[in-house]
Amino acid sequence: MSGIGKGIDFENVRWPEIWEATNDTLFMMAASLVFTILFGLIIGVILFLTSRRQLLQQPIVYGVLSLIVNILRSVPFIILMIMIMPVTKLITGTTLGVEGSIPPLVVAATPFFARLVETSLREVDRGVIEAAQAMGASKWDIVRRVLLRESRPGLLAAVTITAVTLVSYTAMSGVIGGGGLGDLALRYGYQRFQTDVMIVTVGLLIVLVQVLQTVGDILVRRFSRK
Amino acid sequence: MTVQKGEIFGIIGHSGAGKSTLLRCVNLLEKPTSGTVTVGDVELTGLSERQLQNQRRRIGMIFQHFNLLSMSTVRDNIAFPLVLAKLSKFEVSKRVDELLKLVQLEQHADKYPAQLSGGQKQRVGIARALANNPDVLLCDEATSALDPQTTNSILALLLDINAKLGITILLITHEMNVIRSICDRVAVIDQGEIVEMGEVLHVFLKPEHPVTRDFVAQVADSGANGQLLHQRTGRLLRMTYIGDLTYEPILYNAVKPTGVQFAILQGTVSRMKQTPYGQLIVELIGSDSEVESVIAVLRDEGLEVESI
Repeated sequence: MSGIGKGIDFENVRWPEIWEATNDTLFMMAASLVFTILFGLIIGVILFLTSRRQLLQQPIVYGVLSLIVNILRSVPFIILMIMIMPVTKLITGTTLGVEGSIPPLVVAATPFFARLVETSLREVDRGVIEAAQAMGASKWDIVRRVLLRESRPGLLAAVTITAVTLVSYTAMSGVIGGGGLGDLALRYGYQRFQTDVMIVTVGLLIVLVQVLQTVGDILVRRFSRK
Repeated sequence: MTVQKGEIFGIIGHSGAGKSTLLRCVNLLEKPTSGTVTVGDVELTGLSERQLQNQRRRIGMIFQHFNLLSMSTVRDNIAFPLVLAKLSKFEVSKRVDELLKLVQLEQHADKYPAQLSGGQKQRVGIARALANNPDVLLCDEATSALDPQTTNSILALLLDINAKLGITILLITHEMNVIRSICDRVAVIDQGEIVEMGEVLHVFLKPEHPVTRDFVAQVADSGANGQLLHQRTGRLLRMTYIGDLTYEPILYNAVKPTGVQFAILQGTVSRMKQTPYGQLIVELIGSDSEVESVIAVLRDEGLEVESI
């Protein structure tokens, strides 16, 4: 067994396996991010529009939706993953591997992202919404041409945060055989005490998060007009 | 309350008086609890949401804080109402070019609002409001966030638009200067009620309600105070000139054949929109009969004269 104190020779690291796991992680993150953005945007917009003093003010709809979002957000991811296994099986035919982790990832990240969307939309100047109404804009026009457009920097920041969160969730899905870097770290680094594998996988995860955050920051800056 | 087609109508009041609410009732951004709103021949209060959206395109609106889309360029901001009206790309770009020229922002077309000065932002707001050739332009404290010089240039632009396009302008403000510079008629609002209404010149020279007097005092010279006037021994007159009379040597001509002397205690000579006017408080010193004959001559010339 190698240890940090004795210097590490990375003898246990099988690089092809590492690259495959990296690929799996990237794929899980990207695929679940796409679905999360899609569903989260819709739910976030509905949350915003139905909240108090907004265009579609609907206290009951808002209350129910908000409650569901809160419940999903309060269940720890590792438990959520196990809870929705039957649903996962129904959608993808398996609860294992890369495909098996995408549904729980989406279910966990969507409410989180939806709240971030709701908060970003609240930042949009009420006066601008009013001006659009005065110009004869329909509610759909306002969502599409005012709200989503004006909140673009905020939404990009929300996507970045969600992507980073998804990376850490993919690592956790290793516990139920989800595949990817987290899976590798658990199986070799933790269960077989191969510290070198652990260091490499964690290192790669750190790099991945850094890249995501940096790209996100650049995009936010690029689209800010204030 | 009725605003005539083609006029510039001002509503003035202190903050919280209800002027903003009144203005926003015109395009139903604020729904009145009772009563009706009619613009042109269309009663807006009886329309469905869809119909209201269409009618709102006939009513342009500009705002104190401009309310531009911060993520869109000047060009896209002005194009916004045209896109909503589903014009073709070609028509939109042609109309935007016309509007940019009208408000003199051609060189700034591709800038974002954050890169513009307040006056430029309001010009974008005006161009955007005029895009669909509306019949009415609503101005919600359009100059209150601007410095005096910029205010004047925006007011000049509004006056120009009113003259060129014949568009009816309804504006609210708390600055009497705005009313004096461009309005034809004015309504004074206090605690949700209209307390005085009429031709600007008339309201300005003979304010009746205390609130109106406050506003008039904003722009009038507060020269002679009551105490000073009480100490005078001669006949005190308030003389009001309207129109070209303002620049004639009427007072001099009136006293010349008599032995009456005069002292000007307080005076304003100015313009209201295009009309020159003047108001002087004058002390006439001389025998009663001579003073009376001077007053008669002044009235003959068309001046309003009252003793105080």
